[in-house]
Amino acid sequence: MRKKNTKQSYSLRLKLMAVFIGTSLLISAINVFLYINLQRTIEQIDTVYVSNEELNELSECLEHIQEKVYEYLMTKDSRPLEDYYRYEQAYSEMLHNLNRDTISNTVLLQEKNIYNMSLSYLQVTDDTVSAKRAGNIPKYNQTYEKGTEIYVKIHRAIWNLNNRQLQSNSEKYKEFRETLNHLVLICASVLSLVLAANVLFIVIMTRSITKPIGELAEAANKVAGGDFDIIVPYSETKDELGVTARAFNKMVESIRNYIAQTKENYERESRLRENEMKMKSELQDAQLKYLQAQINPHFLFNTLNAGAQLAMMEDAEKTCLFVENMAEFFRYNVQKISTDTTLREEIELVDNYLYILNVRFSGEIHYEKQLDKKLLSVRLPSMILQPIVENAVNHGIRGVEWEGHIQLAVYQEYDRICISVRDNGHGMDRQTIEKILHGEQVHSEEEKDSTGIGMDNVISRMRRFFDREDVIAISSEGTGRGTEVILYIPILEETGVQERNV
Amino acid sequence: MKLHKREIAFYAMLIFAALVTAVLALTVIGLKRVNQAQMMTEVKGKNYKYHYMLIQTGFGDERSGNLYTGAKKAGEKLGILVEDARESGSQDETTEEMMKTAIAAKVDGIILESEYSMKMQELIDQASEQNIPVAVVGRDFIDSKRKYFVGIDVKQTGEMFGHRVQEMYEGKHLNVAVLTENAKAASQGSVYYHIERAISNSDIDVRPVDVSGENAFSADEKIRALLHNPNEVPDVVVCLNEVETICAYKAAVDYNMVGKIKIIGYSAQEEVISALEKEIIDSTIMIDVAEMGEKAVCKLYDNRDKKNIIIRETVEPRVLDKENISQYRKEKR
Repeated sequence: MRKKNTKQSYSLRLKLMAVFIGTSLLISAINVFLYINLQRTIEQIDTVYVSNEELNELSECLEHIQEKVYEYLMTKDSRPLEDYYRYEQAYSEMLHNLNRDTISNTVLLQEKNIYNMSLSYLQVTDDTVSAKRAGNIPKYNQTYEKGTEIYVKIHRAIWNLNNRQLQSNSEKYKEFRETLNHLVLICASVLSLVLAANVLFIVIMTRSITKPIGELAEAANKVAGGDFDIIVPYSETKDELGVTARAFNKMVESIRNYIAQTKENYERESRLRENEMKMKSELQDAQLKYLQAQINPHFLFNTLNAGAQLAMMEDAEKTCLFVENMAEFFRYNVQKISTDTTLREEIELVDNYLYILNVRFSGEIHYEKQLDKKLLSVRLPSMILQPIVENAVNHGIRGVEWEGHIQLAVYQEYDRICISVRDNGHGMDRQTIEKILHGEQVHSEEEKDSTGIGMDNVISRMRRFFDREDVIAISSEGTGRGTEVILYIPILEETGVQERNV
Repeated sequence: MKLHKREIAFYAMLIFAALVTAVLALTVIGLKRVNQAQMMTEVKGKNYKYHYMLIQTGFGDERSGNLYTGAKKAGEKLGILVEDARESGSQDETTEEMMKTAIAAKVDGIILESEYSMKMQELIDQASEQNIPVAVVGRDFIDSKRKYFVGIDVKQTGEMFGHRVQEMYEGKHLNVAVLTENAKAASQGSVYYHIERAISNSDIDVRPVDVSGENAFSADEKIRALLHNPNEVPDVVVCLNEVETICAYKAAVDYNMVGKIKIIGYSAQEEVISALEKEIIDSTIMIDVAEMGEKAVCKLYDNRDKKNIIIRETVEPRVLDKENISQYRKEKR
């Protein structure tokens, strides 16, 4: 495992250096090795005929000695004598190169014989020269004859040996030539094989280096084309490629995350914008309906105020109160239709509305309130409570044979404020409740005595205002057993609500 | 079939390993070749303490070969290198020339097998004066300063031939031709003398036939002439050397005279033994020449420090015929 890690930690430069330096060194080493062996063989070829040359030199020197002895005997001149001594010295030195031991080898044995015969010969020639100096003619004649005999034998022995050596050396030369040819062939084969091995090695190594680069480039191309669902392998290696692959993968992942986040933000923003647009559209729709359904509220409001003053002047107090309530009702509609308001004001509007209705219907509607006053400051969209009460009157208690009651209650339940409008009217079936909660228009818009704002509008505005779905609950115990509509207002920080409304 | 990445790597490594192995193998072969060539240049040989030279008249025949083999064999045991003078020198040199060479080369001993001559006797004396002991084989130089002589018992050899001839007599007159050479008259004359003496039967007519001549091939020509002449064809031919024996039996075969004449040879050469086994030759007298060579080397070595000593010995001849030839083969093996 440790070994593997070490291997993986090699850098690209090191790998490339290993490939090129390694192969170069291998080829160089083998070349040097083969060159040394070739050189050694060539050197040996050069020395094959050295022994023949030496024997030739020996033979020549011997001839010179014999010549000089003869000349000296003929002339008794000092020059041939000097030459004789010179050649004798040279010959003696050459003799040292010959074998002197008894060895079971024909060549060496012949060398030994030549050596010993040469010693005998030199002894005899010395005797001859001494006898010549002494003027002992019979002796030098006799020794010269003996010396000549030995000379001939040495000469013949050298010639024989030379022939034998030449034959043997020719065989050696032939062998060396063949060896050289073999070596050349082997060198060529070895170099070819090493070259092949190196090519294979280089291919493997370069492939291992370039393949990840290619794959990285391909991955980069895909990323450029918008495909972020890729992972580049080779991230386990610790070389530059590994580092690049890991960085690339990390970059692709970051881009992927960023795109996802951006997309989510965009969707959320788009949804909010759509909600806002819808809210505005619904509000405008409500305003339009209101304006269509009513005459100009300002004119009506002013007219009603004038009516109230007139009633007061005529001491018609009830009429005056009625007209004032009417004026107050319409004034609220004019002022608050496009803004949010407090629960207190919404309840006051309901009070006015029911007063007006009771005047119209001679107090048929029994209205009861049960309020938690500390919750009345909560803000909510305007014209929310009145349409609910209106529905309770129009579809609940209108036309019932018993005494109609409407109960309004405000209380806190856990983290929300509940506004309950309960009637004891006709009640609703489950299907109607479902339709209302799903925003479907249950009743005709052209109903009489309606402000024109339907339940679907109320529910929709509530949901958007509080940005939650559970803002309303409708329940009925059955036909003739009344209906209860409960609005749920979450208890939020007031600032949060205010901000939202702004 | 798509190969797996690991498989490719494995095969690549395998090829790489094979290539490296081939390179190493070739390098080893190359080095081996160079070493072989170098070994050729190295001069090898065993060291010996003494150097003896064998000088003999014959060369290349079995007799001379055996003499050298025996001498060499004895020398090996005693640390003596026995050099065949003809092997290392010139083959046309006379024994006297070889003797001079041996003296000039200051060898440690000389084993000499040569015809008698005064010059050779002088050379033996000269060698002896230069402390080179000489052992004489075959023909003795009685008046020389040789240290040892080992020879053939001529009398016994002649008697063996004579007895063999007599054994052939079956009551019918026998013409016996003893092939002789004048050049070797001295040695062969003694043998002939003892052959004649050994044959007491007057019905056996023994006569010498001179087969010597001016050249080396005269013996063959004269033997063929003898066998081809109807008036002279002998009943028994006695040969006194190896060449005569071979010539005689080949002539008998060529002239379809196998069985008509009986040949007694004087050799134990393979060719002669083979002819004996085929009953072309009746019998042959053999001298253990190797034993002579062996004895000469041993005696020279044993008495190397003794001066003025002369030892004479002989080796006994042996008759080989169809009765004992298989035994001889076994011994030889």
